Amino acid sequence: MIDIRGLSKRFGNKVILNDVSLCVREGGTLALFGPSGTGKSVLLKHIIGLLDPDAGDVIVDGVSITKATHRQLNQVRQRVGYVFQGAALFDSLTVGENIRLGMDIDGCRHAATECEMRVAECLRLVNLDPATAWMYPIELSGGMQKRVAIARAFAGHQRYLLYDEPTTGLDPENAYIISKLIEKLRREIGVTSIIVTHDLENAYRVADHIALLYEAKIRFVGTVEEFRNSDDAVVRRFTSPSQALAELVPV
Amino acid sequence: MNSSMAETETQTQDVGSILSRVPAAVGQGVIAVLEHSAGLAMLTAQTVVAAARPRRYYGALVAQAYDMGVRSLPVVVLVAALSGAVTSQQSGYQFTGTVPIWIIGSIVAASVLTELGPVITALVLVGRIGARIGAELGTMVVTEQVDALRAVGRDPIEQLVVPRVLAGTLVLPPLVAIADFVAIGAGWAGAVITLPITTSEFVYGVRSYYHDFALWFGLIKAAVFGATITFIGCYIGMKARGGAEGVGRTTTAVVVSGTVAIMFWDAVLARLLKAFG
Ligand SMILES: Nc1ncnc2c1ncn2[C@@H]1O[C@H](COP(=O)(O)OP(=O)(O)O)[C@@H](O)[C@H]1O
Ligand SMILES: [Mg+2]
Repeated sequence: MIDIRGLSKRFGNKVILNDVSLCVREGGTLALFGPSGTGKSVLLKHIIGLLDPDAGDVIVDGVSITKATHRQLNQVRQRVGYVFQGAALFDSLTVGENIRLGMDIDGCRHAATECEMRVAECLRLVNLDPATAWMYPIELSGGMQKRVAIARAFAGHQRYLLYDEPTTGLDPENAYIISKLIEKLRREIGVTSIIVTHDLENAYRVADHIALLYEAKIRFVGTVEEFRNSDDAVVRRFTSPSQALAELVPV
Repeated sequence: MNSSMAETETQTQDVGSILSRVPAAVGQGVIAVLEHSAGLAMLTAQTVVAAARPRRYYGALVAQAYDMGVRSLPVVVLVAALSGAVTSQQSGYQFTGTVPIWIIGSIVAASVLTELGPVITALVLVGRIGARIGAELGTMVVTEQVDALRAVGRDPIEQLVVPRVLAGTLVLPPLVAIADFVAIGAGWAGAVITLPITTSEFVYGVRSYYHDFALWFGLIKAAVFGATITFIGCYIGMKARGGAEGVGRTTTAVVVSGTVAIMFWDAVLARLLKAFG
């Protein structure tokens, strides 16, 4: 379970998060919507302690992230896969080495061939040629890097996955493959995940709950059905943008 | 006429407003110094703690040591040769007449072993190693690679800072030893070619100066310089913010503060070690 409790964060005098609470039950998938620059990435980073909150706490798998020791925090981080918005691949390592880093703290404790097979399998799951393992991130397109980042996040059979805009910048076919993969990981491994996205279709397919972050607060949280049928004006800007925005933005 | 009066007026105003800003600027300066002192102390503590598990960073340490050591050799040797030759020329012109000519050998050995070898090598490596570390880590910070390292449960201090600082500390003494050797050799070559001194006179001069402590003194300085250069590169690199421009500022900051730190240590260590020696 990921339990976000009263999280507040400001940078300078800019309030990014103001008393944000959210809960994702074990095996659940939450899609997080919100306008660009509201703090969705900032919220996600707090979940694994990449940022320290000004107030509030996050409980992941029973561990309080703000009170955890260095060691506990690293253990939690190994159970949580994180897909960065900008991929954030290690550019001094090959694609294969990047994926291995997601597998085990000491590189790979398993036999070398077993490791290589897992790397190849992960690459295939994100629709990349296993030969990509020998290439360097700089040689890949942005969309390919994003898919390697996804492979790195789940390669170690992580039970929690945090996706920061996993399908943004992908062509429709690969976006579809990735959302199928997210669904498959949930179904087969029972992964608990949060997906930051602007992609309605993807969210409806994979999520059971949807939350909307708006002006530093959680504006809406509920099931996919509730989200679709909400008549909150802000929610409707996301569910039926052309209609809601036509009324809002005079041309 | 009018315009020049107006100019004078604005100038007076400018001086006034600049002066009024002095206290604030001094305050900010003091705060910055305190912040950096705290930051450096913090990173030192974290680095010492993280160094406890060599198995985790051994590979990176070897790679860094190779890169810093072997790849720095050409520039280190070149600069050492030039400074050795220049020293013997300079002393040759200055000590003529009443002073025995073999003193040139002593002067070259003394200045190379205690000052020129370590200091010139370190100053060259501030640019060669320190700036590169700053740019490398700075880029990793702004592209979120450092966050990604944390996200896979690794400690960036252990994986990035410790191997670099250790490699710098280990590699500088042998580099400086090579630089000393080359510089004294070049000093000898320069002397016998251009000055009325024979090889045996030069060697006599070197021998009559040489004592183990001078060599050790230089090598200890080298280790301190190696730690300083790499540590400053890491500290400033890890603090980089804001894209390519931020990374660019990082390299400048490393070169400037690295150079100042080397000169500072040079002055402090001279007093410190002479108290022991
Ligand atoms: N480390 C940081 N320092 C200062 N401001 C930050 C930092 N990280 C994010 N911000 C600011 O927080 C706001 C939210 O950013 P972000 O979470 O990336 O938005 P998004 O919802 O698009 O993911 C932005 O205005 C951004 O400039
Ligand atoms: Mg974002």
